[in-house]
Amino acid sequence: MPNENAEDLSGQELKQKAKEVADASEAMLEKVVAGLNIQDTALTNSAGNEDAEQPDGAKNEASVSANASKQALLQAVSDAMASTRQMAKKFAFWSTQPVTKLDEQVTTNECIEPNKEISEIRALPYTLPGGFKWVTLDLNDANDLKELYTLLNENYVEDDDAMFRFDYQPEFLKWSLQPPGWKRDWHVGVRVEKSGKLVGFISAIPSKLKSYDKVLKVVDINFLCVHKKLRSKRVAPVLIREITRRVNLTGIFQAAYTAGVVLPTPVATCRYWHRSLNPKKLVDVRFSHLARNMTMQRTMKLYKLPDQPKTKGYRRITAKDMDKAHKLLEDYLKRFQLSPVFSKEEFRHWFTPKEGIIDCFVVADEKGNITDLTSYYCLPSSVMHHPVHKTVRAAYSFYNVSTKTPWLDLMNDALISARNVQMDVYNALDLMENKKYFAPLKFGAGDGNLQYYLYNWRCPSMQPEDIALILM
Amino acid sequence: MSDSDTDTEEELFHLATEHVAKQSTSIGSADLLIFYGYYKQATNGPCKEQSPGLLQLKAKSKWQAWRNLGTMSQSAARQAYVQKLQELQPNWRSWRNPGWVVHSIESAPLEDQRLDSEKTLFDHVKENNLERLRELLQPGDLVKLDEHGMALIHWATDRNAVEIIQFLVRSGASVDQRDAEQQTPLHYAASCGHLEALQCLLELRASLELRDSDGQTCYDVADDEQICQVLQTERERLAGSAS
Repeated sequence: MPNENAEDLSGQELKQKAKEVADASEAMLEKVVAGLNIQDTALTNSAGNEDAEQPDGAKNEASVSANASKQALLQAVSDAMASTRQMAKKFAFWSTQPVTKLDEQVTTNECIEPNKEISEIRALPYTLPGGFKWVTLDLNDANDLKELYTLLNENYVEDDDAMFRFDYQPEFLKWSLQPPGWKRDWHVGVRVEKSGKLVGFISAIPSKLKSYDKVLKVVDINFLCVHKKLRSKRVAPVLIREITRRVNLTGIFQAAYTAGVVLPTPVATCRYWHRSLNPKKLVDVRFSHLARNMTMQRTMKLYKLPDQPKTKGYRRITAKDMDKAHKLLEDYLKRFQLSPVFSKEEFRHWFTPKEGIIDCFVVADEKGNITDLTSYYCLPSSVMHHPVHKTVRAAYSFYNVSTKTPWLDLMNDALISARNVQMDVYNALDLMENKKYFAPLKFGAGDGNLQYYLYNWRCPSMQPEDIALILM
Repeated sequence: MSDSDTDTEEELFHLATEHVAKQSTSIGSADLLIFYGYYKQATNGPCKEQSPGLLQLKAKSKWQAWRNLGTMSQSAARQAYVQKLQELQPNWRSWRNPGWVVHSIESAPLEDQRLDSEKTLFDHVKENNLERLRELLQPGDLVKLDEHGMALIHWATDRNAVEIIQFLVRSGASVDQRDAEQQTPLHYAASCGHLEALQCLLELRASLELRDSDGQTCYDVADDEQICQVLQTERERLAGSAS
């Protein structure tokens, strides 16, 4: 095996890495000091504007505050050092991977490292920590599927104090992991050798992706999950290396993935927005919040929607619509810089309604042309520690196209459709043209970002409006 | 990837203080003072320092925030600090340290937080603070309408605050108090779908047949099946006992 030691860094490379870390720490310290000044003024301002009238205490105050900022500076420096160490540790893995570096100026749209010959790719799976073994899950087997469901349900959202956890349903997992061209080999699990318990997972599905003017064969990486008891064992990097190896063996060298965390280096940063469909429940479970002067009564009126969709010709998509709707979406997606290129089979897979998983609606004119399309997938969240409500039912905006029906009309009908199947909230990222309807349709900003990443592909970063890629 | 199984109260407090320091610009000044008080109490114990001079307004209000906590234990102050942050930014932990997976919820509205001394009776009712209400309520307050045209009992019902409704009625509030649109508390309970408040008002003999300025009764504004059922049962019971 010629490539056995490929991950071992030579002395020269190590020196280079050390220099990068040192440079990064310096830059970070500068930022911290700059940030501290800003924060300092902000604190002073927010604590009151009485400073002008302080004949006695002013001097005293000033020295106290100078002392305090010195202390704060020390604290900030030690924090920065800690976080640099953490970063160096965290990115120790990413610095070995073909990904854009955090401070890299990119002007090209190209692969980072060239494709490999099969013979150059490691033939055996990577080594797991002792006591664990690789398995390939069979999602058509009810037991394997149930185990994956349980692993994700209990460990996918890493924060154990989180108020909400994703509750990907077994049938949803099958739908999202078995699109046309799926491979069982890419449903990678890790089990405890003795007990057989499933404690880790990562998946890939094949796809075509347009980045600016180039169409790439990629995989979408998703559902990276490590059991909370294993988090210190650094299993995630091994999972990433192993899925990469398995994908590389089929001649694919690029991937797309999303994450909450900032890694080297996001191609875009998007944010979720939320539209209440069942405001009372959302306030009850603290998914959303009543402002002090807002009544529940007015809130419920504010979010009330008509009983039925209003657009003439708006209806659920049927098998007969598939080719026309595929063409509509294909043409529309060309205008974005990062977008999937669906085959007819893929379109049929992703856009055929399945109760509780995916729903899709079109607007057809008198001649039978499909002019508009809207779709969302369903992903409930478990509500932790609530006496009454156990689940929030959420619809997630998938792909939408408007050519004849105005955005507001189309998306209002989508909201009504979602409400009519008892969804509590409709979520959408601020990508594609979604921002156009957020304010008028009463969406509120969410509190977390979603970072978009490409593996082994460098290209200039993009604005959310340039992105038209939805990963579940 | 943190392993939060092992987070003790101290660690959680430490994480919370770091978060507040980073987010200080997005937290109202009144809340910052509250954090300051808990922080001092948690780290230094009860305040034994002399009050700063009257002219040192800023120092004085900080001192006061600390002093107000009296003999609260350091552990209780740590918990109160974390609790306060939890209320302001329920998702603060995942925000602080996002993992691979994001679960977004709606951001809390940014509004000017008020000091306890600036709060009106209406604020205490909106925050379901029965204790402060009990201390401050004067008989004349019960019929006052605020700038939204609502009396205390309407706000209590809107917030489904059953104990406050009971207290207000015991203190002399009319259970059929009208707001500026002639709505009764029952209109609020029915339209909001607050079953607990509705049952409480019915036990207090609220009238079912009063109409608001649109001519609607509480049945007309109810859109929840369970609420309609309770109202229907009550109506039948009243009809039965009348005949």
